[in-house]
Amino acid sequence: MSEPMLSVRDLEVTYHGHGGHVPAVRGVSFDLEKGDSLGLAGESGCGKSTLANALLRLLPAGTEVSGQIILDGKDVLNLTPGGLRAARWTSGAIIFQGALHALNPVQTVGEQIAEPMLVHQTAASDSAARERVVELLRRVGLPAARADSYPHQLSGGQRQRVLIAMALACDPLLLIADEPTTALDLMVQAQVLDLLHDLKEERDLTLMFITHDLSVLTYACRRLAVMYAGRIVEEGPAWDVFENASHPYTRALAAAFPTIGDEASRMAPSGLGGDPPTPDNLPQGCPFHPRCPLAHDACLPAEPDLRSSGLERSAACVLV
Amino acid sequence: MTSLAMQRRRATAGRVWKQFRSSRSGMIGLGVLLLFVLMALAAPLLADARELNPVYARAQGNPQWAPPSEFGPLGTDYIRRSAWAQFVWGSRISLFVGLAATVLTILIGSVIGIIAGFVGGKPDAVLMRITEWFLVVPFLPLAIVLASVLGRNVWNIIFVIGITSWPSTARLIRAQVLTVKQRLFVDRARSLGASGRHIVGQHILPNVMGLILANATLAVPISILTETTLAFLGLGDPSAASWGKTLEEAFVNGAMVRNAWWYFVPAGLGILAVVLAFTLIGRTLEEIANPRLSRAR
Repeated sequence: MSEPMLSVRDLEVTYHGHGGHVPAVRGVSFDLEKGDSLGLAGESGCGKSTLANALLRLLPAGTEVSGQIILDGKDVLNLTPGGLRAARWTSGAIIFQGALHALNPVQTVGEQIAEPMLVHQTAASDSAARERVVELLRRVGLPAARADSYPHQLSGGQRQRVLIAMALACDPLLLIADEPTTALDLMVQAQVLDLLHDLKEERDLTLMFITHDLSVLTYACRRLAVMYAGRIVEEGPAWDVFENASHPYTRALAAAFPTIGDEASRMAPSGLGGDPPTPDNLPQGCPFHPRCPLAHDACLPAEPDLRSSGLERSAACVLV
Repeated sequence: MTSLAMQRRRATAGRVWKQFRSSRSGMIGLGVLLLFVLMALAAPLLADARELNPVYARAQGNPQWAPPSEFGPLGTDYIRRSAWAQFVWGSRISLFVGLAATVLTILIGSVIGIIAGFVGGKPDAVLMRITEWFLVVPFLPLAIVLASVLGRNVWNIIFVIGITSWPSTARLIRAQVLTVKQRLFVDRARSLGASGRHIVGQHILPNVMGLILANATLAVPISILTETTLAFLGLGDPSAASWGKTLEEAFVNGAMVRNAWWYFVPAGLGILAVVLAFTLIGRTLEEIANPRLSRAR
C-alpha cells in the first residue's frame, strides 16, 4: 500500500460562536488505507460529525479548520472552490444522518439520485442517467418503479437506501456514513449494515462509519476509533478494541451492552455516570478524569497523547 | 440532457393537468377565466371598436342613456356609446394590465427574495432595507404620483403597479427561502459538489414555487383592482377602454343617480368574476404544487 486513501494530520476544528471559541475537534490524526473500514464512536457532542463534515469542508462559514487532510492525493483544505466541488462526491461521498431531511420533498427520488451525475456530468445522456438510477436502485434493493416516488411515499429504511444509492452515483472512493442507521428499527438497521458491507466488498470502497453504537461498528468495520472530547482516545482492530479495551472510557462504552445469555450482566447494567464535558470548558489534564473510575494523581498534570498499546493498537491514557 | 429534462417536464405538466381536472373549484375558475380570455381575444368579432368613439356613435344616431331594451345588448352611456362595446373591449385592457403587472411583481419580488434569503449577510441587509422602504411608502399616493409623473399609458400603469406591489412578495419569499436553506438536503446538495446556482434552481426554487404561485394568484386580482382604482381616480390610459375607466365615467357622469345599471354593472361583475376565477385557479395550483397537500385532499 503506497499512499493511504485518507490521511488526516493534527486536524483541529474550532467554532466561533456568540459564546466564544468552541474547539470541537482537537488534534486528530489517522490514516485510512484503500479498501479499509474505520468506525468512529463516541458520545453525542464528542466531535464525530464535525470531523466527518470537515473531511469535505462542509462546516459553516467562519469555522476555523487547521491541520492537513489528504483525500485521494488531494489536499482538501487548500483546494480551490472549483476543485473542491469536483472532489466532493467523486472522491468522498457522505450518507447523512436523518434520511427524511436529506431528501428534497418536492423532487422524485429518481431525480435526486441522478443529481450528482448531473452536477458532475458523469452520465453521457439522459437515458444513460436514467439507466444508472435504475441500476443503483436495484443494487440497494429497491424496485425500479420507486424512482418516480416522492420521499414521503417511502419508509425510513427505503429512504436510507435511496441515500446510499445517491452516494454511489459517482463511484466515490471514500464513503462516509454519518449515523446511517439512527432512527431505524433493529431489523432494518441490520439490512442497511449488510448492504453497506456488501457494497464495500463489491466495489472496494473505503468506508468511514460514524455512530454512537459500538456494536454496529464492530459488525461493520475492521478498525475502530473512539473519540472523547474532540480527540481520539483509543484506536485499533474493532473486535480487539471492543473485547479488551485499554482506555477506561472504551471499557465503559463496551460494558454498556448486556451480553445475551449472561444473567449477571443483565441485572447489573454498567453505564457511565455524568455527562461529557462541553468543548468550551474542558477539565484540566485528561478530559475524562472526572468520570474515570480509575482516575488518580497522574491524570491531572497533562492531557495524555495517543501511544502504542499493542499490535496495531494505541490509546491515550496514563495507565497504558 | 435537454431531451430528458423536456420529457420530464412534459410528464409533470400532464400530471398537474390530471390533478387539476379533478378539482371542481379549479375547473370552474378556469372555465370562467377562459370565457373572459376568449371574449377579450374575440373582441373585434363581438363588438365594433368604432362604437367606442363618441363621434361615430353620434353619427350613427345612437340614443343617449338608452337601456338594454332600446339599444344593443347592453344599452348606451352619456355620450351614446354602446355599453356592450365598452364591456368587451374593456376586458382586454383589464386582463392584460392585471397579468402583465403580476408577472412584473412576482419577478421582482422573487428575484429579490431569493437573492436576499439565499446569499444572506450584507446583500440581504441592503435588499431588505430597500424592500422596507417601498413597504412603508403609502401605496396609493406613490402609485398616483408615479402614474401622473410617468404619463397615462398602459405600460406605465403596468410599471407603476409592478414597482409598488413587489415588497410583500419579496419578504414572503425570503422568509420561505431562509427555512428551505436550513434543510439538510441543501447541505447534501452542497456536499455532492453542487454550485449555488444549481442549489437555487434545483432545491430552493421548487420548494418555494408553491408559495410563488399562491402569491401570484393573490397578485393578479390585486393588480386588476389597482388598475381599476387608478382608472377610477382618473389616472388610467385615456385612450384605452378598461373596466375601471367605465366605472369611473359611470360614477362621474351620474349613472347611479339615473339608475343606469346597464352602464356600470357589467364592468363590476366582470372584475368580480375574473378576480374570483384567478383565486380559484391559484388555490388549486397551490394544492398540486405541494405533494403533501394534494395527497391529503
